Amino acid sequence: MRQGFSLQTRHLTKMFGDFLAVDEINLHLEPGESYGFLGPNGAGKTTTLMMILGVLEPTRGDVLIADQPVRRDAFDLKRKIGVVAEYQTFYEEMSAWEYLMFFGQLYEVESSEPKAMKLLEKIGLEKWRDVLIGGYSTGMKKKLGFARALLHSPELLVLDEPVSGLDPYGIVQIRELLLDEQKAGCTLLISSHILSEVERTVDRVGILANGKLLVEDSMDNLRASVGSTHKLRLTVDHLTEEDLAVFKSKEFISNLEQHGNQITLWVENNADHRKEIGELVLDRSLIVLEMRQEEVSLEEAFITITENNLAKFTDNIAEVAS
Amino acid sequence: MTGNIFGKYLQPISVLHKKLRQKQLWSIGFFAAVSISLISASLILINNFRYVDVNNIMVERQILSTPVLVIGLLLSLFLGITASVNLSREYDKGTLELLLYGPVDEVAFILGNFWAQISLFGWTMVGVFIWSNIIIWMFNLAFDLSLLLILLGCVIMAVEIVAFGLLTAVLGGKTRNALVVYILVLAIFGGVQIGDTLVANLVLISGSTVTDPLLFLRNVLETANNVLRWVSPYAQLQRSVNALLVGAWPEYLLLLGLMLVEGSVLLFFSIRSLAAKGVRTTS
Repeated sequence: MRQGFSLQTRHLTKMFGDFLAVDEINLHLEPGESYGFLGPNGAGKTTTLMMILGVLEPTRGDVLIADQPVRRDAFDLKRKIGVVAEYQTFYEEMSAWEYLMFFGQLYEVESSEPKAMKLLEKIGLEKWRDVLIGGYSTGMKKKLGFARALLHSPELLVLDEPVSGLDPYGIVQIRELLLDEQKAGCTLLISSHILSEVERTVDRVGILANGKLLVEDSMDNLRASVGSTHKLRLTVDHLTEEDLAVFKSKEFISNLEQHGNQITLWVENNADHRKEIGELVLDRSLIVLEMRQEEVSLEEAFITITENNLAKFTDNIAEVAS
Repeated sequence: MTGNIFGKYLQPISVLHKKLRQKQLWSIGFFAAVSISLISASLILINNFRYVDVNNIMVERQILSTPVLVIGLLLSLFLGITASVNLSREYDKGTLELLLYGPVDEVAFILGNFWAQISLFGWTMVGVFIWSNIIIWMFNLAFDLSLLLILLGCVIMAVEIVAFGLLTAVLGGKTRNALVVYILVLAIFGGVQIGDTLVANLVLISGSTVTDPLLFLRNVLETANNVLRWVSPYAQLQRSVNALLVGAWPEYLLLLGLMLVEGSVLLFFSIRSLAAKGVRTTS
């Protein structure tokens, strides 16, 4: 069982000339935690990851991994970190096996051969282990990148868009690998646009826009913070205008949409209103075909938070310009 | 502390150097370079033997010095190019970034590349030593320690040339730019040396007067050549070998030391430039 590394960034800032790419980011990941790092394109996610990995010098601030400052020559620390970059690069003239053995030597992995074989089997590349990487598909390369990142059993795994370019089968394989790593105690930092994947894997998320960390919270708190309502989808056998008027009259229903026999109700999330709605349905003698309560998805939370920020950002720019 | 730093860097440098050396050792380019340099050296050697045969006099104290110098020069130029191409390709393709995520920094990366070329050159010089001894045995020549010292000089020249190749890769960025810079500098060095010899001969043949523009050109090329004698690794090696063959040990050692210092300075600037440049400029 691994311990997992903690990760902390303090006032992490990066400027490219006059452009502020990352603005005072303070992240804190506990050992063994899974953290989703979200943000629209150009938000500064990759720049932040590059600084965390010691590849890019911050303009201000610092990064601590396992309470140690990250320096380019912190080799012992870096040997415990696994990285899957968004755009992965490979030695295409090598076979997958040679590639893994090379990184096994570089990271001083003990008994790297059985480990590499096990990983190749997990990702379904064992049959192609002696084929040159140059002949691999994008998905195969992505999976091989995972095998390389996991070969040295990292304490911290940094993933930038981990499932982009993978087919559904590949996504399931990678998801299982990540869950195994999580169970083994590895700390995960996942930056992704595929929010449904992040939602399945992480404990907490941070949302970044225009270089600023807007929100950092658990999934439940994030959903709660985005709206005071949640959705309740109700499908009934036959719906009249009179029935709709009765639904609209109820105080706990803030909004209502009708699509044929299906109605979507936005109900206050201060309590579970399914019982009251059930009683209402009985009063109206409606036949319920389906009733489903939906929580605010990470995608909706993400859009709400980043749109609000974008609007503020645009207003600020307009104000400065005028 | 120093021991720790040395130990820390030894492992990544060793792994990187092994990977590159293996790749290079089995490349067609390397075999072509070795073959061309051996053929050139053999032709020079045959020519030298013919001269001895016709004139019945051996002018050079070490008949193998020029052939060995030619092998050293051609191979070190080739390894300088491959060092430059390897480094700029890693930068271009992004594999350098991948290495820097792990236990590699700019120092380890540059020194790993450098050591791959130098160790390969060193082993090739062992081969050249064996080849030279076969020649010595076949033609019943006397073995002279100067042969080993010339080979040592070749290795030190390679240090400077490979370090220069690495610097051009860091400064040039793209593989093509790096190669253009490398070849341009070599062409300037070679051009000045050849131009100086040619123009000096022309001046003598034409019997130029003080006002002749040819004389001005000769003076310019001569000055440039005098400067290059202290900068060009091949000129330095040639001078050091000449010094060695006449027994001028201080000059021989001084020139080897100078080549080592210049090579170290080039390596230092390669590392500093790569660190300053970084692997990414924007997200």
